[in-house]
Amino acid sequence: MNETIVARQPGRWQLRWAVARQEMVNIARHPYYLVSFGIPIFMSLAFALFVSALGETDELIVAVYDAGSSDWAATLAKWEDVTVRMVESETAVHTALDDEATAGILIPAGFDTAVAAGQSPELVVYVNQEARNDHIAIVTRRLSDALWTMGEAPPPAMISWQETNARDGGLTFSVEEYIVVIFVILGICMTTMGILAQIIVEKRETGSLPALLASPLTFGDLLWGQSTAVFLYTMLLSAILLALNGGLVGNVGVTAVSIILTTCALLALGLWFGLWSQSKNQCNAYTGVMGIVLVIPSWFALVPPENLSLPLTVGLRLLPTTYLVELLNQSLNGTATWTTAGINLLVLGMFTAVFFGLVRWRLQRQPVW
Amino acid sequence: MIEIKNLKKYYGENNAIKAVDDVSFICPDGQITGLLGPNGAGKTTTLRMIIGLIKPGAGTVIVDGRDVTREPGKVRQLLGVQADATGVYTRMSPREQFRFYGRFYGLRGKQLEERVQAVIDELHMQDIADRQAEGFSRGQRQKIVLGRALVHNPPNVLMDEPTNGLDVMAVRQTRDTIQAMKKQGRCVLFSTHYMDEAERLCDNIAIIVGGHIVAVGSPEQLMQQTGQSRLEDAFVSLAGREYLTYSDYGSQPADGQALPVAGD
Repeated sequence: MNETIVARQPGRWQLRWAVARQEMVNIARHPYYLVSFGIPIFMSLAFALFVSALGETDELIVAVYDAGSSDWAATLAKWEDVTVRMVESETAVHTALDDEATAGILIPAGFDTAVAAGQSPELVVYVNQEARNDHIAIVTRRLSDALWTMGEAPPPAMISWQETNARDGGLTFSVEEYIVVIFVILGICMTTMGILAQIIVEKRETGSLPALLASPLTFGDLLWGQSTAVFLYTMLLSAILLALNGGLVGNVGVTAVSIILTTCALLALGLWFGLWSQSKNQCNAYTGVMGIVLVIPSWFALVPPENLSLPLTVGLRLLPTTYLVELLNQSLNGTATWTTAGINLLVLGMFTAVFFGLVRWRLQRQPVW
Repeated sequence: MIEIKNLKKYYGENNAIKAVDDVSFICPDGQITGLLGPNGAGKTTTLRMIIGLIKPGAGTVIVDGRDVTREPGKVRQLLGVQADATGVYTRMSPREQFRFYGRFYGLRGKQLEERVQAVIDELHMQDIADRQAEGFSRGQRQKIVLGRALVHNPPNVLMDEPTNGLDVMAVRQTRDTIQAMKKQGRCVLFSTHYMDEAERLCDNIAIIVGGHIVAVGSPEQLMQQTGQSRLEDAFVSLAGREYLTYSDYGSQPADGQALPVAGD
């Protein structure tokens, strides 16, 4: 032959990334996979429409009682996307909070003068705990920005945060957060495991596996690449679902790590079912049942733990998604820190390690075909 | 060049099923070598051991001086493998599939695009290169499979029953491609059970029956050896008796002794 090999042997990660790219195209062009990714998004949008049809409003209302005709109150009225309602008394602020306002601000008499004198006067801000988390986050940020426009160090005013309409003791988070949890878990469980298992089985069913393995690609590289593609799609889906449902609030870092760890655990399950199943139908049946089981913890997210029976509590503890529910609960309502979330993250990590250990064990005992 | 030496693969309890038993032959560069045998003779198992997909029980496969067991990755870099035509991605165009496979061999950027275009031109696929493969005929799919095998410009090409199930025009095109590869100086090894194809194309033929080689030589040598004027008759003469024996028992005789070969 007058020409020889035209390229040098690629590295393992180059091979895996090549597979990941191909699988991402494959998934994007496959109607079934697209529908799988689209259903949680569609349901999420449909729910938002349903809620708005019931009369709930997306309007962000802040009630302001200005006891001393402060100039600063006028700057609040200029906030975009926020309806600022000037009320005549502190009582009217509470009435507004009981109705639909996200926050209430009491501006004391002589506020502007005290700020100018560097006395850092107290500014009482009521936060409606029944309001949407993203609305609370917006108000908090806007208020802070508005205060700092009045001066630099020392702080122009000391904000005294007061919670109103506190949730019942047993109810650990709001309905809005519950919806975020439901859709995120539904999205991950419906896509990650099932699609990964199916694209693994697909290679055997279509007969493309021998040709792939006749190249420098190993079976391990193939599984890595396929898992990477599904992981990236799951991350995209999760981000969309969080954004659509106001889930990008609270401790976003804990939310992200929780979702990543759960996705990894479900990828391991997808690998297991993909290696185990002989056909796509078989694969659908296994992952469908497993998906339903994994969604169950989200059903009980609004139920106080003490109200659950012991067998149910123990059963739920065996599912990785239980820990995701708890982590999302903490992170969305802003109570999560890396310390408080640490144990649940550790348990999720252990689930992931055990599942991948099982996959490795199976791979060592199972012929490629 | 591919050198197969004393290759063995046994399965089952006490290695009772001898899928491939002491197979040896050489496929030189610039020549077409045919691996002929009836269904279940061990052709595909032998090819899979050459590629490194199945670990041999014993024996060695040397591709351009490299041992497939010791350096499987490097050997695969030297091989182009055309497997069955069903393994085509229907939601990708031929061009995309060639790019996909090209990346496995380290091709990137301009180099990759040039090789992909060269394969498309070589296999006369310009009209279908950018269409998704859904609905392609078997012949068109076969071209994709062949193109994937050639995209990295390998010096050795393995083909498993390349004309199986193709119509007359597709068979002719595939045979022309195989001839072209020979002219380019590649080492071509293909398995088939079509005698006329082997007679037309092959410089060397290895006949495998019941997992072991019963004869090796050029078509002329095999015909001369058996006193037959057609390769099919020579094949039947060489393989027939053993085939009947193995069909009866499902494997080579337990004592491993070769049966006498017609014409010996």
